[in-house]
Amino acid sequence: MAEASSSITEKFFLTLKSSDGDEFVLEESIAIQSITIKNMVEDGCSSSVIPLSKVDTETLIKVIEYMKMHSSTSSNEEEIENFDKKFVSNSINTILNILEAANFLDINNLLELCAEAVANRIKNKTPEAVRKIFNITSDFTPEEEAEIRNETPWAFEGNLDHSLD
Amino acid sequence: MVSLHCVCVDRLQPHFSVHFRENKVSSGDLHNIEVDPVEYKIDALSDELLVAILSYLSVKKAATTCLVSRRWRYLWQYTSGCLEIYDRDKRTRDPNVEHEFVKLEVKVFELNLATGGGFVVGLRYYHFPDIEKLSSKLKISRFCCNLKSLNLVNIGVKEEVVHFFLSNCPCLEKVRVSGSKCLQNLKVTGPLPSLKFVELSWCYNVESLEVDASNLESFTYIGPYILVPFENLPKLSELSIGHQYCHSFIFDADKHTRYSSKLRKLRLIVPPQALWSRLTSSYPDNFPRLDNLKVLELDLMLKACESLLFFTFLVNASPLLSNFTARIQYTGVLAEEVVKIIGLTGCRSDFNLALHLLGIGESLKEMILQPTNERHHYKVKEMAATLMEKQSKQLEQRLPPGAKLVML
Repeated sequence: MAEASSSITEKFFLTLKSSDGDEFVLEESIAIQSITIKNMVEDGCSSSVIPLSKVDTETLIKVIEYMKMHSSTSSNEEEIENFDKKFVSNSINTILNILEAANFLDINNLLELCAEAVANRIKNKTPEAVRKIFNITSDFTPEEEAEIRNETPWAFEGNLDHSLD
Repeated sequence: MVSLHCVCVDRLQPHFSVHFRENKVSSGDLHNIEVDPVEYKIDALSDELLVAILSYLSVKKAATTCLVSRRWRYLWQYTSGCLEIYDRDKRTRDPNVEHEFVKLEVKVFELNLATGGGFVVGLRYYHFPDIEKLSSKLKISRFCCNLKSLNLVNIGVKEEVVHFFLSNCPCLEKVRVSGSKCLQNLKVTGPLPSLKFVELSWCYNVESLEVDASNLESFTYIGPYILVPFENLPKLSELSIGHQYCHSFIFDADKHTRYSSKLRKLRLIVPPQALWSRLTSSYPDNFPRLDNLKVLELDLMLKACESLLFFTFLVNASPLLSNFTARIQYTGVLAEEVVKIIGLTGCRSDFNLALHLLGIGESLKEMILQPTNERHHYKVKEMAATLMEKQSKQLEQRLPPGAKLVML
């Protein structure tokens, strides 16, 4: 079945396989927004299924959604803008997954969108709040913490935000 | 910014058995997927990606994350944030704060701005450290490779410093040097493929400037008269000029025709006195047409009665002009001893007018404020009253010595 579909559509469609084993057929013109995929297509490695072992199904769905919206043929600027706004309101973990996938797939716009979205969530936050947002446990001793604060006092001046949203 | 993983590695991965799923992704599917809130991801990200994220924050904000954990401690130092050294906050008079301020920038970039620095009366002013000594240390080159924007304001920057950054920062897009007293002969030349914005302003000792950057889009020069600093900048579309050089642009326009016709945005910061005697008497001869100019901005300091009429020649010369802005700052000293403002409503424009009059009224002895009875601007009378009370207190604080404020 897989062979049949790929032989009919090999010129225009690519099959992407997520790390969970799910396959997605996508127009080549949309998929080559990913430089990684584009290189593979140009190297002639795309006739079979393209395995994306670093991207799980859920993330791949989001990435495909993004690429479809951003492919030049279908959407206007306003739509894209609204889409991006909604896109970055995904949970921080989803965004981080997509960020990693965008890095692997080399989709620069998506990478920038996600990196900025994450940056916006930690902007002006206290180190404590950043830890909580990312569920990081501090491995500094109180003495070390005091020393670092002392080293870069200017970084902690002004009003920092304790909230987590 | 972020490296690409090798594609071949993936192709060598064993192919697992395939189970099929609907291939088309419909938007309905997408929102049903919930994320496990317990599964956190950040530790799995590479340092490169974390740096990419932090690069969207200013250096100060990024630096705050050094306390998050050991892994994060030095990440911010690899970000491609902006180098900004601002020193215009005159409200802080505390010398300790000033000292902290020097340290601030020193620590960020591991430079020691304090060495050889000196204070100039009334304005904090530091000398940028010797660039040769600086660059002999490793840290600065690491920081240079990502630097996109160099912004040095009110720092004694010598041309060597700017030359160093220009030749060592391949990503540099924006260079701004403002208020340096020791900058004299600057060359912004060489293969500077990324450079798009250059500003050199209020550096009064500039003697010459040479600019040659093929992708430069925006150029600002506010300073003493110099020879036209560039032969040909193919992409230059935005120009801001001011001080004496502005005079040259208007009255020696033929020297500027090589680029002036390509400009789309022009901002003139007109010096207060130098121009006026000539401005009012004669229009420039043969001012060339600015065929592509769409946006024109004028920054002027006018005395009362001086007119903007002179500048209509610029509008005449610009057939495509669609946006014209004049920012006017009135100067001059009010000779009156008593100022009476009748019909105050408590709204902001009244307050600003009163403030302005106070600012220029050196010989002011008395300011009389008479509020209007029809307080239609504010539906609630009490609100207007409180507002005016607050405003009059603020005004009172700014009265010249010996003067008094009378509220009728």
